[in-house]
Amino acid sequence: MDDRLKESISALMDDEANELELQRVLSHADQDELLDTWKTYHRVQSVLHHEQEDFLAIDISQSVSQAIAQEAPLKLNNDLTETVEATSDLANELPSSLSASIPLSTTEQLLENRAKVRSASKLMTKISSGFAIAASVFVAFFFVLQNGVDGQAGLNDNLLATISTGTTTTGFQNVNLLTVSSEDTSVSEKQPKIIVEFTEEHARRFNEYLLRHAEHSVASSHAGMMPLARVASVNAVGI
Amino acid sequence: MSLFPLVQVLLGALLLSSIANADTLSESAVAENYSSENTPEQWLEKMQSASMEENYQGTFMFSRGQMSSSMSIVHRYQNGEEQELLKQLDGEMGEIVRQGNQVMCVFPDNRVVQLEKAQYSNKIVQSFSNFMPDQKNYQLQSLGECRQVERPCIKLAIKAVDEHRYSYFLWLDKETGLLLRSALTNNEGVDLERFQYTNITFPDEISDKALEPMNSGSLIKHVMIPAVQKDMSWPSKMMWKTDWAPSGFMSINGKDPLGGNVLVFSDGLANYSVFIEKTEDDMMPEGASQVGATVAYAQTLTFNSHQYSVTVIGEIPAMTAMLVAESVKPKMQ
Repeated sequence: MDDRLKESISALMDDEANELELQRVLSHADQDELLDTWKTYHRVQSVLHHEQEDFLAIDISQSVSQAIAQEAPLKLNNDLTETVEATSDLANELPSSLSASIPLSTTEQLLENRAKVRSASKLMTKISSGFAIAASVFVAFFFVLQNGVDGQAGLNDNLLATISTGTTTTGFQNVNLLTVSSEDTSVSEKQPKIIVEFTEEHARRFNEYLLRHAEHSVASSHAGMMPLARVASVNAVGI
Repeated sequence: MSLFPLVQVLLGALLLSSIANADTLSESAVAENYSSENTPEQWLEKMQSASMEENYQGTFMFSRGQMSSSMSIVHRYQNGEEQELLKQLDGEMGEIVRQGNQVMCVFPDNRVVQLEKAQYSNKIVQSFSNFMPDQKNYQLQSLGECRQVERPCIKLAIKAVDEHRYSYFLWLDKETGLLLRSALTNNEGVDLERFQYTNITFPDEISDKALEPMNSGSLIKHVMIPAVQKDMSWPSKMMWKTDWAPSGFMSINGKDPLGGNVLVFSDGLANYSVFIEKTEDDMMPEGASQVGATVAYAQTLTFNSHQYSVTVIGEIPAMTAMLVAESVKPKMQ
């Protein structure tokens, strides 16, 4: 499942979905992966809010699709209208096995969102902003690294340990000394790699990789907490 | 508590390591007049089960280099499921919630990043006796008894036998086996990463309220971790491989759920991830950067006139990360 679809699911859950996002979700409603993600997101919400999870099994796709089908055509630019119509057709062809009822209030909310359909450019802005949110998380991580836990000295001298380094502007250090006292001479003869200025953007990228790596580590070690502690300690105060 | 990534898989690796070094280790344990009835292997086994099945709550310090941050943890084992709340105590509050296999990072403004479900060959990882039959990369030693957070504990050392991994020192609670303190050191004995409880209790019961995140009161925003981007011009089935991995490290990608441009390796204790992406302007600078024990090594790879960015990140030495990065090759289907 691509990130755009996940973003649409998330927006739908957050009551911020526009028409295209709604249709995008509905057009994939017959995919187990989407349903799993939908349930997972609800589970996240219910865990955080300590809510009941009974509703997770409810499938709203057909009811929503029918409600949308009864709506008047959208006044959008041609391309977007075509897209919406196409996805609407797909949604109407959803298997009957997916049918279920949904609370009227939910339907109303979804239809109300429909009235808030944005232009294609706005849509792109929103999609972009989704990534921007994610990016801002990591930018926040960066500020932690830059400013330190107490907001005092940067971490230039603190984050890294051992290795003589080129100090950078963000608290990260690029490793210079790579001497290894190995029996493998091919290893020990390696020269240090380049040192470059470590920008904020690079710090952001580093944190993205760190989070991804934590994800892998958690997965591969049955949810061990150390990768999470690493993430949290990098996040420290700024997230 | 599954406090460490390594804890869960540690046992298998070390058991195997100890099997490989059975004579040496058993003799060494005897020679040290180990004060407990348990062998080091048994302590590790006890640590693993304690981390999962004990109820405990406390605060700990987590240090990388000279930077430290304090966190609190509440861990409950109930109905066969672990529940855990990890909270950052310094500055603005971030929280990590775990319920069974679900792991969520909750940020102060209620944005949530959910870590993806385990997609790797956990069965392989669990079964290190099959996974790494020649595991000889760590040496297990018992270092006697000591005291941490007012509790008697057992100290163990897990020493790397080559330069491609780090060494670990573990302090285990003598009563429960829970890990109370650890240190991850490089080959020069310098601490890169430290963990240590400053207080801990083992209550019989932990309330639901103690496991509630503070940031759950309003709207939740789901935030996706940005995906590792593939280049649109890549052949549809283009896959990647590494021609070299440090001894004992093996792929744990399983059925390649990551689409072929993310590779994950583990030696049972340490993990590293390899990302291969299209080259963009905001890529990591070429070279190595390190935070505590975590290194990221980035370099550009050119293949068939295309440029790719290779980034290796993990709890391994910078040199090792560089060698891994340099060994990345396309694997044409």
